[in-house]
Amino acid sequence: MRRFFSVLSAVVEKDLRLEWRTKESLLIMVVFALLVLTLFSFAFGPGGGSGESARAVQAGILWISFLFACVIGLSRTMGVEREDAGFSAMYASPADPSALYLGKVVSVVVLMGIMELVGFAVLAVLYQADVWKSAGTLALIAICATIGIAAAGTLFSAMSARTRTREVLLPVLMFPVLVPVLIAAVKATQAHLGGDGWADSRDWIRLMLVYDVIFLVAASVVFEYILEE
Amino acid sequence: MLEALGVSRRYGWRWALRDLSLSVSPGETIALLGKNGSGKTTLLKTFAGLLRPTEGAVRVNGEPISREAKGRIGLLSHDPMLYAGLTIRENLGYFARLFSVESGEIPARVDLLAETLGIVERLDEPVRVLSQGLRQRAALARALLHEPEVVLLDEPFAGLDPEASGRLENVVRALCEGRERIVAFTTHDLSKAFDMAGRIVVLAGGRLAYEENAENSSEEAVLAAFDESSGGSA
Amino acid sequence: MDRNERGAFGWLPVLALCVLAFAIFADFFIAGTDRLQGPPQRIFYIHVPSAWVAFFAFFLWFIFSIKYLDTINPEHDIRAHACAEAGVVFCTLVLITGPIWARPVWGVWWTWDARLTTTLILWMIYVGYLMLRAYMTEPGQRARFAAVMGIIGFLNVPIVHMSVEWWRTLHPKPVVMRSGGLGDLPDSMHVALWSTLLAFMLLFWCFARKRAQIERLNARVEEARAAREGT
Repeated sequence: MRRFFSVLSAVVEKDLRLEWRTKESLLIMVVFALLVLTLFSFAFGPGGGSGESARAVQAGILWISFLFACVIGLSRTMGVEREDAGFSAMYASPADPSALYLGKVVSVVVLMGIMELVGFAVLAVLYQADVWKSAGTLALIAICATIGIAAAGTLFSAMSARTRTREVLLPVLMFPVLVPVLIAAVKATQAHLGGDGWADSRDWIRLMLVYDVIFLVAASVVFEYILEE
Repeated sequence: MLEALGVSRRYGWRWALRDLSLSVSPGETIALLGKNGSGKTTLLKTFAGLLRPTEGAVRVNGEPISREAKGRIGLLSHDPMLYAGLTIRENLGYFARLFSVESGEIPARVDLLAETLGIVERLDEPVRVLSQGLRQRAALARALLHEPEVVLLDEPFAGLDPEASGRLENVVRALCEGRERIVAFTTHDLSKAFDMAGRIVVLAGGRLAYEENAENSSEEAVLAAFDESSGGSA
Repeated sequence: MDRNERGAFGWLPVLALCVLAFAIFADFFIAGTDRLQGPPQRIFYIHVPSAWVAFFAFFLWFIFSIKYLDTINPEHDIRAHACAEAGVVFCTLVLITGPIWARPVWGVWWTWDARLTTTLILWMIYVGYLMLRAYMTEPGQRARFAAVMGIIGFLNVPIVHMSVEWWRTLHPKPVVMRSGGLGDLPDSMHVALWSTLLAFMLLFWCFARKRAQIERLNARVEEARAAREGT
């Protein structure tokens, strides 16, 4: 167990250190998320306020932009693994593949978390969305959704990074599988942007937790086959 | 004891290895020779557990390669397998943890290896800026960090200047002297092979074409084996 | 071996076509016209069995994917691939017949009905899988990645269904939508439904077998070509 966490933390430390040195992925993720948020405002009109339909649009825009930005971030970090033969090096080591996988997931969650903070702030400014009224629950929703996205994204980007088309395939593999997370995250966020009670989003949070657990377990088990050359 | 028992490996649709059997005992050093594409690298990767044989089996100390067994194998591959954005020290620290080296021991081992390989002053430079020779030495440090019983080196001396090559040679020579250690390296340099290895193995078309102790072997015989036809297709 | 294969199952396509002919006859002439929906209801006999076959194929795909990772026997990879490709045919059939049925009966082509939406997602997962295969060249790696995709995709579908169903309950449902239990079907409709299902199952079997055969031949061709280039 100690070895498991030692490997996990080694991966997280390595990923975050690489990221900290260049800040390339994070920067492009944040800028891209902002870009999508702004573009959607042009497409849907300046839908500010806290009316039912306005909140639906805001929540949808928010999560779609996070999802798109995440694809770019994942392509970057997995691209590094491919170029520097990180997959082979991992597979040649005695480290537990589940620990390697979970380490990758944690670092993706951290990167996405930073991007989401910026995203929520921008949403509050551009759409006068009330993100403070129930910030705690919103954070919980964001964490559950982010873990789900990172869990699926890490697995599929490790695959797509090594196909002929490289990153292009990632959204095609990842988005259909992420449908439940997207629905749940948008619905729960929508309920909370209006400051509705906990009851409205409880079921959605539960759904995301179930998804997260199933996905993390299943992907941990099969990650070994992804590492192999 | 490192054994390949009737190993075949298909790479793409080509057979890169065909029914190859070879065994190396502790304390032995073997040189793998052969033309490009003869299966040398595939064999090393199969020994390292990086590739699964399509048929046949690879065994370390009589057991099939498990995750635990990989901790006793060190591979210097063609690709340095180092993160270009991290320094040598950071790379080594990361891989030491992957190979479950006790965290207290890591700095001492890194320093010792850096000294033997002559990369002490470069330890804190990112791999990205290093020359080919330094990268190769850093990669060798990565392969030796966990003090493996089996050391597999894929063309360790290729593309190096004489200084780097000489230093690497000394390290490899020291490795070969280990009584319990198995060293297998591939090379195109016949004189190095005869100089360092106890046994010469030649692959041609994925098959074992020649196998002889270095003392009883001659360059002519080895060169003849290079061109041996790979036999009838299976 | 290939010749034996063809010999042993040579009757299969013939049988499938005979059953299919009977099923079409049953769909149009044996089954009575639905009192509420009229003739458009007959598409039900195509729509529902293809959905069942598509999900059955999906299940087989999952089983063969697990078997592949367990044994690393390329035969299971070929079978998983064949099931996915034959399955996507029936999945597409569901997605085409669904809107055709919905239009005259509900007045809209698409209603985001939970079952139909889940089928749409399933179709996308199938297609993603086939694309993943198409963009990879190393057969061993392709088989492994594909098998992982097969397992993850299968585990995902129940969650997709659940989430889509919950998502739908928050929207007004189309008034015409009613739960169509099979219990209240008259016997003539049962004949049409089950004979079509049998026909589709046999067809699926034919498609999958043929696809696997082609894939085996492909592998041999590639191998022979590589061997010739190698020497």
